[in-house]
Amino acid sequence: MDIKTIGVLGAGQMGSGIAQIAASKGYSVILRDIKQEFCDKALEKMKAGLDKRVAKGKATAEDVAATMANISTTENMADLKDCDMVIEAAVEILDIKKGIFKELGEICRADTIMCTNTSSMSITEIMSDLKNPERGAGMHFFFPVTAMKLVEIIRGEKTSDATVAAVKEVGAGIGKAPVECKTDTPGFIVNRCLFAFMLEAVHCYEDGVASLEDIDTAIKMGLNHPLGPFEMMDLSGLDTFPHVCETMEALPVTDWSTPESIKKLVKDGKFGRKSGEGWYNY
Amino acid sequence: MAIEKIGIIGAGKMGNGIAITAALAGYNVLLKDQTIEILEKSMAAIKTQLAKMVSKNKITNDESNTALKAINVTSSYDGFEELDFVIEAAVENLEIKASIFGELDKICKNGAIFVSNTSTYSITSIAAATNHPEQVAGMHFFLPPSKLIEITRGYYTSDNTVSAVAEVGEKMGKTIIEVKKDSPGFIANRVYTPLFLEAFKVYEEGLASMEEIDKAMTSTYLPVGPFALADIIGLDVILSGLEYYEKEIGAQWKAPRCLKELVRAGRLGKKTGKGWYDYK
Repeated sequence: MDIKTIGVLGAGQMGSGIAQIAASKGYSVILRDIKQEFCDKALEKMKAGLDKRVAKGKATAEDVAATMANISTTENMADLKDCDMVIEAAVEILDIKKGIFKELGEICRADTIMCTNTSSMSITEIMSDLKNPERGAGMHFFFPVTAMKLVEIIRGEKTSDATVAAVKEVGAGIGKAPVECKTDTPGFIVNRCLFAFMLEAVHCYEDGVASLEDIDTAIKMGLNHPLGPFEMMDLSGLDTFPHVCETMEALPVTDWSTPESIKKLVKDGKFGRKSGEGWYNY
Repeated sequence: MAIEKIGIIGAGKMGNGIAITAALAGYNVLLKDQTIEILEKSMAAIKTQLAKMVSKNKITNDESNTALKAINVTSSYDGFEELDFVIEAAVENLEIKASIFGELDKICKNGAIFVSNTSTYSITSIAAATNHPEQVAGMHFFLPPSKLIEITRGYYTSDNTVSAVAEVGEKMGKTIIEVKKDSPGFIANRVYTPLFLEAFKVYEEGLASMEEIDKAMTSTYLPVGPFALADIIGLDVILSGLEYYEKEIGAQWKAPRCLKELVRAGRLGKKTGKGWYDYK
């Protein structure tokens, strides 16, 4: 299938990042959020970010104009009816995601590819109310979307080979390295590995093995990682951390329960970089 | 205490690296391993490494020559009686390490400091093999080019010992972190090991191939994929570490079957030419 028009649901950090890279590679993008002002804000931020790249000589004004011209916005789901593919990047709440795909199933063509950018939930469940669920798949991007090369492509129980192939093609088409996850298990590949790692960092900290600064230093200097685990948690946001832990508790053996110190930070509104404070102060 | 001469036990990859670092920092080094053959290979590797550093302009030819002259090798404990400081970098096995420390305690002079480069085991357990546990500490080096050292106190380790170890580390140009608890794997290895475990389980469950898992991890946040890194460290080392973590911390550290199978099959990683991947 030749995919030309991509709908992106949700104009938050992830959604606008996905819209931007798709538009920059020539796809026609329709960005939708529940309020027009959310879309307007997202476009403003995107333009400002792209202009900065021009100022640094990393992009030309023509590139930016072409990218921006490829994006239109709307608050009406019905405007996505002609999309060849829709990528949902709404909040990580199962019922909301399920509702979106039920609605899209009614609005879009029967062969429109449906993707969710969930970072940990079951693709099969999210797509359970979708008409023709064989066209549904997970397409998990990483933050920041413009910089992170990877996209995980996840098969739900009903996902067809043709759907996986189409999603892979778009993944490569927007300049990402697609990796296929063959089963629909919580956390997929990267979050499952990284959360086990980040949780152990918190356990070490809670056990008094070392300060969080020393743990970050040990990982960065000892293992040559670009970020320490606490910096990583602050960057991706602590508010979503307990949700991901919860979905992974279905996996055996590993202890995925949310550590008390994270629960407290979240309760105090310390979500990481985005709120100005998390493990560290910004 | 002015430490001038350092003994190093174990002329493997870590021991050789520590010998080079110590010699370049101006210490006299006595490197011990079980046989002359091992030591000859090790000296050849050290020469190659120093030559590489000269060609990259990291050190001068003179510095390289001085460092090389400062390294002596032995297959016995002769000469260890004069040492002030011994770094054990033997195979990662608690019984072997403990027996080396028992030996050192008999041979070396009073007041000599013994440190273990263990990445996993309890310093208190290792120190218990000596009559001077206050003079024993953990001094964990990382694979080059890392400049980090984790210093760990055992139950009886004295402040004097910790400051002497820190002084040696600093003279070697390292960044030092003091681990506050003698817990398995200290900081970096303990935090990273669950990532290994989870990656192995993801593979075992058939979610993705090891190549795909490594690609996924290096396309996001990691400098090297977990399977490639495991092959560098050695699968036998990782397996015995996991068995120790399981015993000391809990069942969630249990080694997956796929890892045990590779070790049983003699696929120990790069050092045997085969591990998760094949090398040639």
